[in-house]
Amino acid sequence: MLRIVVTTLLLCLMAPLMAADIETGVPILDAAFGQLQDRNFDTKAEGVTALAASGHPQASELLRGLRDGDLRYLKDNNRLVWMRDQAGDTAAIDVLNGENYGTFGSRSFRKLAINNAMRGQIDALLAQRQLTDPDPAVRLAAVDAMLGNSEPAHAEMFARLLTTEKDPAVREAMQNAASLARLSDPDPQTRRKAIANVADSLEPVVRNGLTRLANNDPNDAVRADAAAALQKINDRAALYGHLETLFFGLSLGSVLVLAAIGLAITFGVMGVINMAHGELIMLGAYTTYLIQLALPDMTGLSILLAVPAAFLVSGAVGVAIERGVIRFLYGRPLETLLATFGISLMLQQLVRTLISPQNVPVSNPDFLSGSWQINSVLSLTYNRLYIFVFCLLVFAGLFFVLKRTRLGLQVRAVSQNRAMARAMGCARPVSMP
Amino acid sequence: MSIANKVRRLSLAVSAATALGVASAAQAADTIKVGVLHSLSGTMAISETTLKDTMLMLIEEQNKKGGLLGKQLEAVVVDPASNWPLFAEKARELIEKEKVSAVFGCWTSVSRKSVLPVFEELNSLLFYPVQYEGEESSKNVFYTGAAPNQQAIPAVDYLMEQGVKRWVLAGTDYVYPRTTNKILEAYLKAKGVAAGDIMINYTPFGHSDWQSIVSDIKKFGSAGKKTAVVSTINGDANVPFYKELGNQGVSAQDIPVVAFSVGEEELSGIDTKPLVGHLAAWNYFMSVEGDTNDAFIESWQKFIKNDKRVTNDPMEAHYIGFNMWVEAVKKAGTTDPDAVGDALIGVAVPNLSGGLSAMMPNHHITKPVLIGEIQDDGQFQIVSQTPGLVVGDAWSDYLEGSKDLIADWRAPLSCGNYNVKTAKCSGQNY
Repeated sequence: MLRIVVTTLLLCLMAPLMAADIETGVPILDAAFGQLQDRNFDTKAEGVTALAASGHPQASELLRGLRDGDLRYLKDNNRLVWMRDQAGDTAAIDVLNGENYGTFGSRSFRKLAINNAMRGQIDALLAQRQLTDPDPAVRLAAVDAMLGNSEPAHAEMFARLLTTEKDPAVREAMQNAASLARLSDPDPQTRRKAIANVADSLEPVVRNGLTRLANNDPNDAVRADAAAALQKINDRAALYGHLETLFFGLSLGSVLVLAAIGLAITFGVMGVINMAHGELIMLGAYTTYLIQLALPDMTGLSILLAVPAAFLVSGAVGVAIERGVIRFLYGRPLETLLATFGISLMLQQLVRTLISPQNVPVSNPDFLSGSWQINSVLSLTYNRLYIFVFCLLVFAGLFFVLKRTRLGLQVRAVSQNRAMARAMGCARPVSMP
Repeated sequence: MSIANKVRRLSLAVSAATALGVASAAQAADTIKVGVLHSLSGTMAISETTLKDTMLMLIEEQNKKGGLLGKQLEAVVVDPASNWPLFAEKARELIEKEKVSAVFGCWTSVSRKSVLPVFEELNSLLFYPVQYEGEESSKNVFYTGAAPNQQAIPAVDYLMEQGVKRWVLAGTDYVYPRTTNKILEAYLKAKGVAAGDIMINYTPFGHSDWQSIVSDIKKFGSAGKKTAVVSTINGDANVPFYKELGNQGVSAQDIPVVAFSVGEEELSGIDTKPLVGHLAAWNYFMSVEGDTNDAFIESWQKFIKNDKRVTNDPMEAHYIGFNMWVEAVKKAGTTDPDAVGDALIGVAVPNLSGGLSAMMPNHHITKPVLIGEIQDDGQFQIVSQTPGLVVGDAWSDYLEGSKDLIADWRAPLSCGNYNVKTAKCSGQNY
């Protein structure tokens, strides 16, 4: 036990000695990075503030590097470097003078640790610097990023910025942000006005602020106003909640429709209960995976290629099953059931043997990931939206084939009355009982 | 070639063969057998195969150092195929047929519960390397993974420091998440968290449709208080869970997720860019700075012949457990399970984070607790570390019925569940 205590003590004593100082040659940066190397996250946060306040021309760039994690320092010479990909290796480029120190293994770099709270702090600092960016889109994003860390001091800052801001969207966002900051104003009348201003917003930060006022504000009128505004916002949020549930139901339903269409047609037309239907879907999914494996850096293209390829592969296997097994078993539902069940087991084992018994990942291309933000309480994920649209397209295509083509007419005839359809000359190479 | 020449060659060959046969027989009698009981096929293979390789590496290194008690070590590897009853059969085979001196193995709690009666009946030693739910202390099992107070409780403490007031406890539906969440719920309530601020959710193994659960978490988290998710989700279900978090735009700055079953190995197949800042609590991370760790990583990547392979916490647990067993065998001068079991208590060996881990009388070990944030390269950045080592607690202090129990396997008490109030040992062995 004593040994443990002694070792722990020794380690604690050694810890400050182990990290050598970063040498940048700029005293103000050295001081900031000295704080950033500390183990304590409060001291580190002060380092971030010091770095932002340093006025160094590269301060924004350094903050961004700190947040994204490609700003490191080399164990060999304690210089701050960027980690850059160089022909598959990691090169160290000096941050201040751009000198290339050559390539290193990842363990020769040391990282400046940051946590979620510091990431938020850096985002807010960077956003503050972007409020005067010439691009309105950047300004808008900056105002949004600052909403999360609303402070009373922001009210004045936004009021000042509003005197020069021209873009209507940015103006609106800034007015909202200023009202939000005024929710903690000392004057109750200002707070009441601010409540009236933000009552239409669904932003979570607004709800947080209103909840705080409704529960804890010393002024009765402010509490009543906040509670009323909160009630209104919650009612709207509940409405959007129902819309979201509806969307979830539709999107899950469309996945099931896609799976069920095939099953319904094989059963309706051929009278075959296909127990291997799920495995045919699985083969389509593995086709997608293999195409993605063959085109590693083109996820978007590989998905577009995979859609027809998955149809063709699953279809070809389906034809092979029909030609090889099912056509000998028409009219004997129990046997087809057993035979297709056997095929399903064989297909499963085939994939296990050929590819892997473990789950394999298919990554989403950019246009399929993320969500469509309608407002801050309702967002629809793109992958589900696309599935819904895809399902509608497939359904429309199938509807067209069945209703408008000769093939569809025959399919419908067969599924309604086999014997009559055969008598009318619908070709089915089948031995019916 | 003359006939005489041929005869001479033949006799040479024969004598060489005999000599070889004798040598291998002599070697077989002179080795100490070590059992390795990890699934090499089935759902757990992804995690457990690595541990089998770790054991082979540790045994090879020990043999290079001259073996143990003057004998070479020999690994006996069996495959229980992620099949819980098969674990018990394979354990019996290792102990009765192969006569191994100790077994290193198991991952899931259900497999440990399955082999427990076998080890107690046949009196052999099991080293169990994975974090688990506690509420157990067997004479024959040495728990080198974390107990809840070495992982779950410190993680929750860290999030409380970060201002988290509302909690989602999400887990896979089996014994480890359910027991851990029971302990956490009792702990949070003891800390003054209202029942309305705790949401508990269980999903089956391999759950893939997370959209409504993630949306519920989002709604739960937008009620004006900082919210965090404590995830005991195990296995494959983690991939779609983290994907859906990314899709619905839940970032670690809004609602951080702290996971107890997601490590470097599990992340090696996922794009971790959208996950930066989500947390995990372990007792070891590959990113730990230190010479022991650098040396371990180097020898692991050399042994597995792949410099992209990662190391993780259960590997470190095997590293500690194996070295403890080696020390105890040296101390006892024999591989007899009773003598080694007694000698193990108090043994301290270096862990990979630069300290010494010791085996305590309750068969749990002392470990540092590290909280890490996921980085875009699939590694963890340590954001919090306990100042010293934490002693593993077999029986949780926060559950009715277990808070009065202690485990002490030293001579006069020798009990895994001694009730300090009634001064009685319940008599059960676990």
